[in-house]
Amino acid sequence: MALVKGLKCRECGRPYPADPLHVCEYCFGPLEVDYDYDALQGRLTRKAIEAGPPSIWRYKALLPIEGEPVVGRHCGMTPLVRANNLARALGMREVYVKNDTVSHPTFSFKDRVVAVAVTKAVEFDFKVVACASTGNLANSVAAHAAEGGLPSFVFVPADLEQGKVLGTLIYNPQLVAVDGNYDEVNRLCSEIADKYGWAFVNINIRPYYAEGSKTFGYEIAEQLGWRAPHHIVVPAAGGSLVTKILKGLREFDRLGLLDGGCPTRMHVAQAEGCGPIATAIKENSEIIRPVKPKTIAKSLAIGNPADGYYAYKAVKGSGGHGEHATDEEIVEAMKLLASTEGIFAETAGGVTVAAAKRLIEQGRIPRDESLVLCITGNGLKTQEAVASSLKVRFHIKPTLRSFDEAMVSHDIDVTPK
Amino acid sequence: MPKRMITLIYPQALIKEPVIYRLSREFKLIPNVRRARVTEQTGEVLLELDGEESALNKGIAYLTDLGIRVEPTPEKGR
Repeated sequence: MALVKGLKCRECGRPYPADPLHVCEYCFGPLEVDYDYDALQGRLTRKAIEAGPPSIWRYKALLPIEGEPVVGRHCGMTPLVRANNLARALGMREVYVKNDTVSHPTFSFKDRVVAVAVTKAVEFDFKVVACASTGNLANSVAAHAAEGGLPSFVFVPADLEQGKVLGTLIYNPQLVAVDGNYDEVNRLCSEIADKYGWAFVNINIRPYYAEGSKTFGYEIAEQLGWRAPHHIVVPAAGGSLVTKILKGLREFDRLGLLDGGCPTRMHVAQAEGCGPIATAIKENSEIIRPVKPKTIAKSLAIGNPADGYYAYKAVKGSGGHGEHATDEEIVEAMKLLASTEGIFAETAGGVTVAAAKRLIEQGRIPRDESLVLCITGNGLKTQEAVASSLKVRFHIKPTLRSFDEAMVSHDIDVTPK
Repeated sequence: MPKRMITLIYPQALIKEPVIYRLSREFKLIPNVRRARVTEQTGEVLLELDGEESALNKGIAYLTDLGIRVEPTPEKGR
């Protein structure tokens, strides 16, 4: 029952048919999926959504596919964790973690966008799916292509973390390591997409792919009891996720699905070594100046973000802000999230928590307002980031005496019963 | 003649300079501004350039030497 009107240019508003297009031929603005919201009014209810499957497909009416999903049937509905321990550590009253570290099947939020994109690629009759990726997308495209029985080509920067390389190769795609950063990989892929006519999920079918990110916002609202939080902190790479979470919340609001409207302030989190969107927000400049990435948060290392301008608009328009995190803060924040909530996030999660901490300390996120942290990928993928700062403290002989001595020598207070 | 689509990001000091006019005159390139956004601190112009291959390369080098950031921009989808 998805009611897609077609595509629309985000710059000049020119309408296009719902074809595999992504750029306006007049002003070169990016295209976005446009829906017939009036027709959905009253038809898409809380009850109808709650009766749907426990996956992103419960929101199918607001996703741009025509038939049934062909891959990723179990994607989405990840936990929204009430993070009381973390809240205490941050000096906040109400903090939630939207935990996509356990996303099915590849442990990052990219499963949401890829499930939609690969289904759409099949509907468009593409024979090959592909992507340019900083890692998580590579995992997800390779896995979903395998599930859909499609060949896949995955292009990544050659210096990617080993966990992300192995987590892609296992699905048997054609993995191409490129000597260059993500922006150079992406540029190359635009040319390859033109020449070979493959479905590059984040290039030529990007308008459809990006819609999958809305489900992150839908789930936050539904899991909060059909309300939108006061603040959401979102990590940004290309900048799409923050815009789509906000789009999702505003769609829910427009359809009358939210109690209390949509007061949410969207905040962007980026690494100090690659933070062009957060910098633009801080400088009040709607033009994003590209940078050369240098950060341990490789999944966010996009120096020339495709949706940077729109991310800027989403943040500014909602009254939010942007913050950076140093590599040291990222590692500390990963440890804080793990030690308070038992959630091992990848470096991007560290960026989110660290930036949120700064925003709270600055008073931009008031301590008595509700906050959702978007944790988008699993820490087992980026073990290198924390490996050097985590050590096994005790190495003992298999005797009680050896254990007792170790406790005493490390000054650990263990009292026998 | 070959065409090239590029995005120019201007530093503040060059916003008031007629850079595209000079580019056109000195390198015999035909510019077509497809989109532009200018703020107090910086400017962004999405430009289609039409000309001989060697002139395109020289023209882009001229822009870069001035301190303008030149980003190649994808021209179309499938």
